[in-house]
Amino acid sequence: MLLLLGSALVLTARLTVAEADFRRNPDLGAQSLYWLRAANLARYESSLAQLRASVSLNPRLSSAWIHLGLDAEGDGNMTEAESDLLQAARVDHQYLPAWTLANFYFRRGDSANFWPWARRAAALTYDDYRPLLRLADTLETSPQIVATRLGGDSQLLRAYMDVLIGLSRLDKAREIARLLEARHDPMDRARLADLAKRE
Amino acid sequence: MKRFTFRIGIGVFLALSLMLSMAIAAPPIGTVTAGGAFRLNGDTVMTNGTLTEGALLETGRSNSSVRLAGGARLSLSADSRAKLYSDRIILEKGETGLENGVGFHLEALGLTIRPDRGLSTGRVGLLGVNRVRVAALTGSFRVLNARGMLVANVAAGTTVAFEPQAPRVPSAAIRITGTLTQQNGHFLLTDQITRVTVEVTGPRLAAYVGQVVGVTGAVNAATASTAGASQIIATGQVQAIPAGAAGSANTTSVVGGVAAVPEAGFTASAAPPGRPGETGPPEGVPPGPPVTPPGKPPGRPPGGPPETPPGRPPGRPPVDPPGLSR
Repeated sequence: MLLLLGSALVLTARLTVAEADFRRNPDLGAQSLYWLRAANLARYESSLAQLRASVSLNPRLSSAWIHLGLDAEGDGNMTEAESDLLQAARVDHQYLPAWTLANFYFRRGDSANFWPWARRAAALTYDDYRPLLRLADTLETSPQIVATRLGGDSQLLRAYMDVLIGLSRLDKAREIARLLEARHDPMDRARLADLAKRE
Repeated sequence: MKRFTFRIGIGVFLALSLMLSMAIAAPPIGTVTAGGAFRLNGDTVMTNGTLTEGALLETGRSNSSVRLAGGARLSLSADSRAKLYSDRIILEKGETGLENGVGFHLEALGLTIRPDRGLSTGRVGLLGVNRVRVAALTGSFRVLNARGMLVANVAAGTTVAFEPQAPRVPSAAIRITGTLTQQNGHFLLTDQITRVTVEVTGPRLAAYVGQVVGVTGAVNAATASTAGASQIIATGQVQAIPAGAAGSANTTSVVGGVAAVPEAGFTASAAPPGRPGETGPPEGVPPGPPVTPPGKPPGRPPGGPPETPPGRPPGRPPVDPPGLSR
């Protein structure tokens, strides 16, 4: 009961503040509406014109820049594609733009630009390193170099070792195992012992 | 000088190594984008990723769009799974759509579905474990069996479901229905469902010319048709379909060991005007109801009863192929 009452109070307070804000500065309210419209356009509409409209209303809409970049790439406009994807990364410092740029440079075979964005994506990955590791491993045959270039985080090394074991590349997995071993983390003991048992 | 030469050597070695690693690596064939997460080669990927030859793509709750380097555009519906190659998609589960598929084809249940022209757009979906549905939205699609034999032409605005028959059913067996025509001494028939035109051989066929007939028989693979048909069949049974029953009698065709059933389009809004699933006669085949020459009783041509194999009573409707019911 108290919880319900508390929630009602919070909602009432929020509505009061919102109304007061609107009365003080009506332009701000209109601007918020614009931003909402832009986000909806980017989410539900995929035509190029509508995406362009989205980013003109809200230039910080990274998902729309990513859409535009990938569309331009599909149409063969690589300069425009790169510019749109870099713009997405400028306005959004999270995982998705970095991952998208790493993929873009991978597809172009541009390893010089791939590695910085792959490293950034690796630093921002919150769950699954494997897709990134597979790209990186395709470009570079030495697992140690891959691990170093992607930042060498212990979680990344564990994921990489698992990927290599899954691909039955045990010699390469052992190279990563040696890096993990050097860190003396008790969490890795069972994993390393398991690898040692494999033929 | 020695140090300079050594540095150049190292530089050349590194450049060659890089080029070699890029050459060995599986080349990217395209991109995939989605509204949310999807699985690519078993890994969870957020919103977009790179496809390499043979990539396994699994959609979750949202659709995925695929753009291939060759120009083909595909959509994979939610809860679908497919393997992607630069020149084809092998659908394992769910439904896919194709646009701009010049030199591209779809595969499902061993069938190959090829757009007739690059502009053809359509959808292919798996229904259960043994049925595949092909809807042509614009342009037509050719459907081939596992041995490369043409089993259907799916025309724009129509939807046909296909079911490869059990191995015990010989792939040469054929069962088709359409208006028998005669051109330069050859008897031709275009099946109403599959739109495959075959040359029919057998005795007393002239009596059926101009009529809608149901034909069962076997493909004569040894001989190629000189009359423009995709295959020659030796008739086992020819049965005239009465004018009033022409529409209802034609529910299932079997060509090349694959049963075909017309379906109401699952993309009805995109189909051109007309009843979805309705199959009109293709070009060159006279439209309208079957023509029975004046004075002839329908379904009973002069000069003897219809040809029926021994042991089967004349006029008995053809038996539905096993495993396919509407």
